[in-house]
Amino acid sequence: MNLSLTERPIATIDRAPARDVAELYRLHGQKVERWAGWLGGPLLDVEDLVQEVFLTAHRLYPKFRGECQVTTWLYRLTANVVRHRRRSERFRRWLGGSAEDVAGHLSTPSRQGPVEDLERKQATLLCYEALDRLSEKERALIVLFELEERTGQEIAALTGRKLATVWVDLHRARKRFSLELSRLDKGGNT
Amino acid sequence: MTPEAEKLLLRKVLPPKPLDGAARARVAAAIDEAQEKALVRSHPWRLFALATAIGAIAALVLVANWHRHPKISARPELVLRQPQHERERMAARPELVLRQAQHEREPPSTSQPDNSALPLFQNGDGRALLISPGTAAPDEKSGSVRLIEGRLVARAIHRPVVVQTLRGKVILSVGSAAEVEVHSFDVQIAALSGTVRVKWSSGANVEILQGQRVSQNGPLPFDEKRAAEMAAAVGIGITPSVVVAEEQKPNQPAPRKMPLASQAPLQATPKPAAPENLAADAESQLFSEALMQLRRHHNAAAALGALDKYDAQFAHGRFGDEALLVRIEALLSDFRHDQALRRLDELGHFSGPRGAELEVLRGELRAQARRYSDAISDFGAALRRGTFAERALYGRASCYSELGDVAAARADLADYQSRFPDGKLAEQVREALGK
Repeated sequence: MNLSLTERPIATIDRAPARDVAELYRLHGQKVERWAGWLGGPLLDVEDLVQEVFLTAHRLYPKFRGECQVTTWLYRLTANVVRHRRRSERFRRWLGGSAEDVAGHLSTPSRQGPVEDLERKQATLLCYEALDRLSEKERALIVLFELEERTGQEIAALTGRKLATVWVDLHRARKRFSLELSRLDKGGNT
Repeated sequence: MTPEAEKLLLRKVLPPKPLDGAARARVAAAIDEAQEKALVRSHPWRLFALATAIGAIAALVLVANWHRHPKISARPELVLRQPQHERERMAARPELVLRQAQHEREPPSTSQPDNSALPLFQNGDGRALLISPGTAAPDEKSGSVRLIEGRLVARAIHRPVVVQTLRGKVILSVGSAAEVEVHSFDVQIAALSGTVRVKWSSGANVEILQGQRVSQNGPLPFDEKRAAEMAAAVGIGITPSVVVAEEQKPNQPAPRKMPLASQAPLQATPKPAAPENLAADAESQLFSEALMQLRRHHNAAAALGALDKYDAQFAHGRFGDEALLVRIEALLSDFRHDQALRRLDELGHFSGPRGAELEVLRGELRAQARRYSDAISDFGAALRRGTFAERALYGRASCYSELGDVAAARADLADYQSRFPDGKLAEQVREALGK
């Protein structure tokens, strides 16, 4: 019997190269799901994003030379796929989509009451609207640090930047994010 | 907006919904598909080989169905008529005359050809499938042979029957029956009744019992429904056996032999299955369903559903250990590592032939959950058993390293390097020792 995890010890999962993209998906699929979910926000379909990330990975994996960690490489792929998808989604909305699309994609936890659900939906929409006004770099930093609650070191490892740079960029991103939130809160989102 | 309000807002943001098992299976299938396409694209010769294989299969199907062609079946005499001197020559060989005589007794109908009743040598596939002239006796006195959809179904009644194929010889002892299926590169033999001996051309000898199916590459799954149809064609009835179960459990006793076919009436009707056989069949079917969902359809959720049903119906079933392993595999493939670990934690001590594997697996899962001390004890137990030492040594070294015990980690890595200089992780070990 071939137990899926037994082919390689856990301690080496991040270090030893995967044989192919199917194995890559088995090892890192969950992380990519999480990144795609947070980065894409409520508007994008996570399954589509994950599929596209791993199909892109399948195309590019032979060129991956192991210069960075495979998780870093996968994160970059995910961020790029999300960026492209958001761009096309913006264009689609401009052509005729509506805000209802957004509400339709929101996950709705049913354990809480309807008021709480509504508040959380509104908070999610507001937050992502503010995030959409930031640059890609700032947006990713806020998502990773504030929403996914990653540490600075983890963000540095994922994005392949120095830790000090991450902190400086994060500081700026938070200021921009606060500003945009305040603008939206005051009704300046026209 | 105040910083406190901002924090509150961020806390309220809905987390992304994790993908369910079906969605994950869809993504995995898309990746598999992309890989298969790329394989064909990157290796044009594979495409050529595939086309050749399809052509060969088509040719085999054509040859196997040659006698079904209406023009040919309407003129059976063209196939069977032989010159006088040939008849005289054949008269010296009683077994061949017997075949001809049988055909003359039962000429095939031109309006509705009965393929299953045609004598073997009308198949036109003499290269691939021949009855050995000295021993085969396709008459009802000594044996019965039928061709059904390109497969040979033979039954030995009073004398042993030998079926010669390109890949080896199939010897049916008295009272046994077998199905022989010839493919381009493969011959598959299924024992429908009694004991069947196979002498492969490679020199290997295999004895298969009722309910087992083999090719030269090893055992194959046994299709009971088809076997029952084939067995009925040669006049024996078989009850559903527990073949799948027996194949999955190597330590089980050999399958029960059916009564010898020669002791049964020639056109015996299928006997109703015994209740315990039916239960065993249901059990093996449920287990097979779980395996199929996991291995073939890559649908871990469906496999887990089937295993839940299995556990509910057969709490102390014969596949208990295997079902657990399949469940663990399904949980892992569904990224539910914590649940897999919980299952393994509940078991405590492992015994049996898969014990070391399970110990190493639990050690790896515990290491992943940062339970390094527990993981070390698992790896240690696996090392004492002597199997899976490669993974156990590396895993234990990783755990020691995480706990800050550099000396112990280095000792394990050095041990790994001396025992597995060409191991899967040799490069990582060299790097780690070099630091």
